Amino acid sequence: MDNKMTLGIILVLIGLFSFIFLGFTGFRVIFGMLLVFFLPFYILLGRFGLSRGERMVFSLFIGIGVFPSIVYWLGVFMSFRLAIVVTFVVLMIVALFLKKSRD
Amino acid sequence: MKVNKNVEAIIVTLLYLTCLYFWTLPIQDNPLPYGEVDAFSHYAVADYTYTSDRSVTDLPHYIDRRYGKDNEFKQHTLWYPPPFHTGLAIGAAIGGESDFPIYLVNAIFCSLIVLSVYFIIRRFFGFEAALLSGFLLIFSMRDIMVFLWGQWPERMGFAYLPLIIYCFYKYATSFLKKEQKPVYLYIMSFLLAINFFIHPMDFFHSVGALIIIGLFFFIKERKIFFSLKHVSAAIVLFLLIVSIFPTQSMNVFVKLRSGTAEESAKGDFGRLLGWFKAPRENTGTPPVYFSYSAMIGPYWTVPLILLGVLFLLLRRNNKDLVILGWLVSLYIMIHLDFIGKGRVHRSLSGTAHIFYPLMVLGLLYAYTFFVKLVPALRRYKSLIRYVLVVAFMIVVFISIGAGARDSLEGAYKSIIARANPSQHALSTWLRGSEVPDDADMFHMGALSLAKTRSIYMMGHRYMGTSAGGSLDEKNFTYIVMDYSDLLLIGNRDGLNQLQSFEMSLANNTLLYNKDNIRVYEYG
Repeated sequence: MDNKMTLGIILVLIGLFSFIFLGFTGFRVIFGMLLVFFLPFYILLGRFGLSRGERMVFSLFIGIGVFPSIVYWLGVFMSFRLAIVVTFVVLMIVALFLKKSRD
Repeated sequence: MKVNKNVEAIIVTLLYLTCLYFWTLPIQDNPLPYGEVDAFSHYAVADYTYTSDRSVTDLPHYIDRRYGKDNEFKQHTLWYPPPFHTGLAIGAAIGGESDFPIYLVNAIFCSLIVLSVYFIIRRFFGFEAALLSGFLLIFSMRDIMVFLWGQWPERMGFAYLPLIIYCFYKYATSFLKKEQKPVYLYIMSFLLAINFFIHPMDFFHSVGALIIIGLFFFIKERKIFFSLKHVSAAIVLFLLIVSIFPTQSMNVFVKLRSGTAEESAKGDFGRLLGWFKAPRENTGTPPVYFSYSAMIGPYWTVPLILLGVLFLLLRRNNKDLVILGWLVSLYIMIHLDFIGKGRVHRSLSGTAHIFYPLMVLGLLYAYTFFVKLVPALRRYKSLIRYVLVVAFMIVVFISIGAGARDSLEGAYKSIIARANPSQHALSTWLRGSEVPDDADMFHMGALSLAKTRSIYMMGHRYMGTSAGGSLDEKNFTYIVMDYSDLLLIGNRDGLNQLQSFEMSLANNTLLYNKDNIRVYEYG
């Protein structure tokens, strides 16, 4: 079993679980959280020579703290929903730029 | 037990989804907010952020009336640093509604301890130990009770401790091997700062663990295991991060100065000989919260914990010292009342996070010892290990898992435990009503303080009850005559009293009259 297949199985498991037990709203919330709290930080932490497990855990726990902190301050000056989008887009651009510069 | 990394990733996903299934049981059938009074304060900040589409700076009146002085550094502002509540509000924005997503994200946040304990135990002691520890934590009753009641940030904050001490271990061991990896120290700074934001008490638990583990490392290695340059950079990084929420960070230090112990056992040496003694005075927690067998597991598991400690004490490698340091630091936090400090019964809720891994280590090393003792068993040792792990999971589920599931499934399920449909309709009406945002309403017919708080936090208008003073003392300008709960429980006397009072309101303007609830403008 390769990494891509494993990722696929995991996403299907999470998707099925969310739909069956938590409905469409639960599905949206869980995948949305994975997207905004986890993904940008997972890409960012790729620069530091961490193992895959460390990178996954640290990105989740750091993302849960850092992402809302940025959204909070932006949300003081603009729409909260817009602040979420802006934070995510900026973090993804930074993460992908750093990833590209490393590669 | 060797397991392929990809298979392990799937098993961990299944473990955590199992956890999430159990921890979301209270909202799977009924998405209405539940909990004790604390739960509604956290719900309210997240809900207000979502519904107003703005971050909360100054508290709205209905939150401020109760929590306006909780930030002692700058009153009328958020009393906790914003990341926790903002995280819940982000969930609401993604989900497109308020109640269910906030409670779902909270269930995820509060159960993160399963992942962080799995992580550190996996790194230190292997797959089976991690799997069993994570599995046990799903059913940790003390964690579940605190989660259900509403001390949500405290529950989430504990999940950072294992990762913080892991980073410390990685940095210190890399330094000792002369392959310095300061990145772990910098990640630790981030985690510590976030830990501070989520809940200050948990942050002090983490700092305590770092001090004790550092001391153990120093005693063992008899040399410095860090670079002053790295530590200084990590401290500066930490200070920079915590300075982004100055009013909330300063509140922690102001409260530290004025803090007194809730329970005091000052100078009671007997207290040092036990793990915890149920306090004599009322701490707002039921007696069962202080019971080992009801919260952690059957008493036959105690020898396993002691075996786990014994094994670590005998081996004493650096990983063992990390776990022992964590245990000792928790012991200190739980016994701070000896010097008249701390809210020790709150610290007690971190017990399962270290007791379960120790229990599992005790079991696995007792097995190893037994197999060494009986040579005939060596041929079947892998099979025996599998059977032991599965058998232990089954026994534990029967002992504590079933009770935990029942607690989660039955939590706030009765019709009077959460806002009933009439009260929910009232809350929905209140949000868009002509009742001014800064009105003080008086709730008559309330069954509990938590119930009233849930109604007014959902309705965005403050409501007091007779518990906080009489009607005239408090200058309430609106009265809610709520017959709905009293009708549901069939309380005739209560209904009669309410009706006779309502007759005195005949000259007041009736604003709302639906499903056995009426709202009057008063005075």
